[in-house]
Amino acid sequence: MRVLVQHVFTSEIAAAAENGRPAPLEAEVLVPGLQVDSDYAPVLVPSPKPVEPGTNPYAYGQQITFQTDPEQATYLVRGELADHLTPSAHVKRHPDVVGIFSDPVIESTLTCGGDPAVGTAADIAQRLAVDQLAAEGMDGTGVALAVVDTGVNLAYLERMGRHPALDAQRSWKPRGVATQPGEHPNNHGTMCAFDAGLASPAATLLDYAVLLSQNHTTPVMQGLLSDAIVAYGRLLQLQRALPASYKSLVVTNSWGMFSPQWDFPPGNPGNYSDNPAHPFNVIVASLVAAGADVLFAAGNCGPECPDRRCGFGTTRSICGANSHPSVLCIGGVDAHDARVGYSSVGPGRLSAYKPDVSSYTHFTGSGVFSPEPDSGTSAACPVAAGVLAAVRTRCPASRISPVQLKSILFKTARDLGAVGFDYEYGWGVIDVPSVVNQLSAAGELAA
Amino acid sequence: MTVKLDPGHASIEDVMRKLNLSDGQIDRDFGVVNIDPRRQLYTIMVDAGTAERLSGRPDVDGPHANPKIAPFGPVR
Repeated sequence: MRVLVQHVFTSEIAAAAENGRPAPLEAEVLVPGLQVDSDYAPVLVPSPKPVEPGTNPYAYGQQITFQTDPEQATYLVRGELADHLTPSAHVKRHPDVVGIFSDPVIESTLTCGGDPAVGTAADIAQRLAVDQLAAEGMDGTGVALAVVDTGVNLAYLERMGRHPALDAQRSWKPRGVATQPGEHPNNHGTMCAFDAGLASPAATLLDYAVLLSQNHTTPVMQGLLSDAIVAYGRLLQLQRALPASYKSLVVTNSWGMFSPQWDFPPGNPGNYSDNPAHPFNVIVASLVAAGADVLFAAGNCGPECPDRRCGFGTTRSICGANSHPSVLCIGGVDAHDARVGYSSVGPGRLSAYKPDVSSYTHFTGSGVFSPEPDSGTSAACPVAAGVLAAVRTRCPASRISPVQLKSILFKTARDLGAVGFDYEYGWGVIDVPSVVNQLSAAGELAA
Repeated sequence: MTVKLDPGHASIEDVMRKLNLSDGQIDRDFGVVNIDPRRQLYTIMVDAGTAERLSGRPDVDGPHANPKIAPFGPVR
C-alpha cells in the first residue's frame, strides 16, 4: 500500500525539503517494513494553530493560523508498506513519525457512456460561435451535406424545430429498403442530421442510408462495407459532376468496424483495417481528391470506458477509412473541452496521426435516444461536419481544397492535452472563431 | 474484387465477358463501382468460389474483405 509518512522537524529533513531532494532517512527505523520512495522530496506541511487555545486544530471552521517556520512544521515523505503491516504501523512507528496516511490514486473523471449529458445543444451552438458564423453568412446555404448512416427522418427534425432541405433525388438507399430518403425510421442517422444542423441549419441534406442494408440477418443498425462502396460510388459521381446549385459536398460518417474479427487479418492482401489498397479506402481517397470534405468519427473504443462492443483489446482501434490520411478523423470532447472517456485514441492504422481534431458530443440535443444524450464520436463527427459545411458556404472547395481546409483546422484548433498533436485530442478542438479569423485575414471572406 | 476497365466498357456485361462470368456469379445489385477514375479501377462483388477462381489473374485484385459496419452511438 502506498503511504505518506508525516515526520517531525529535523535539520536534515528540512534541508532536503528546501532543496527538493530526498531525505536521508532510515526507513526501517521510522516504520517497520517501510520502503521510502527515494525520488520523492519531503514536503513541508504547515502546522495548524487555532486562534482560540485548546480547540481542535483540525476543525477548519474556526479561525486558524498556519505555522510555516521549518521548526514548527512537519514533513511528508512517500513510501510503500506491505498490506499486512499497515494495521500495526501506527503502534510500532518511531516517535518522530506523527502520522501515517494512505496515498490513494487520483484521476480525472471522464464522461462515459451512461453518464448524464454535459450541456445542451444551445451550449454547443455557443461553443461553435454559430452567431459569428451566421453574421459572416456561413450557414450551409448551397452546400450538400451527405449523412451516411441509418437514414434521416425529416418529420422528426421538424418536430424538433429544424427545417433542413433534403435532396431526395440525389440521396440513396440500399435495394430492398421500403422507406424513402427523409422518411426512414427515426434513429442514429436523424441524430447525426440534427447535430450537423447546429452550425449549418441551411445545408441541404443528402440521405445515404447505408446502415439500413437488408444484406444481414441482425437488427437494422448495421450494414456491410460493400453497401458503403456502392454509396460512395454514387457520391463520387455526384462530386465529379456537382450541380451548379451546390458549392461543395461534405460527407459525414459516424460508423465503422467494432472488431477486427469482422475483417481479414492485417497482412492479408484482402484486409480492410490496415490496407490502403482495399477498394473502400481507394474510393475514399478518390472522393476527397475530387473535392469533397469527408469526415469519419474516431470510434468509441477509448481506453477509459470503451463501448462493450469494441473488440480491439489493446490494439489500435482507429482503423480502415476512419484512419484514412485523406479524411478528417473526429475525436469527442464534452462541452467543457474534456475528452470523453470512450473517444478512441490514436495512433491510427492507415495514418498514425489520428484523430485529427476533436469536436463536441454528449449533450442534450436531438432527443432521438432520450433520455440519453447525443453521444459517442457519432455526435462529434456531424457537429464538425456542420462547421465545415458552414465554412464552405463562403469558401467552396474550388477555392480552398479539402487538404488546405484541414490544414487551417489543424493550425487554429484549441490545443488540449500534450502540446501540439497528441493521440487523444489530435491537434485540439475545432475553434470556430479562430477559423473565421484566419479565413478573414487571408481575404477569403471579403465581400 | 477490383478490376481495371476501359471507362467506355465498364458495364456488368462488359465485366462478365472480360472475366468469363455467368449470371449468378456476379452481384448485379452491387454493380460495377468506379472507385478510382484516374487509374480506371472498378470494384465488383462475386461469390466466394468465383473469387477464388479469379484471384491470381493479373488484371484482377482481391478478394477483399467485406466486413460488418455499425454506427458508433449511442455508447453501450
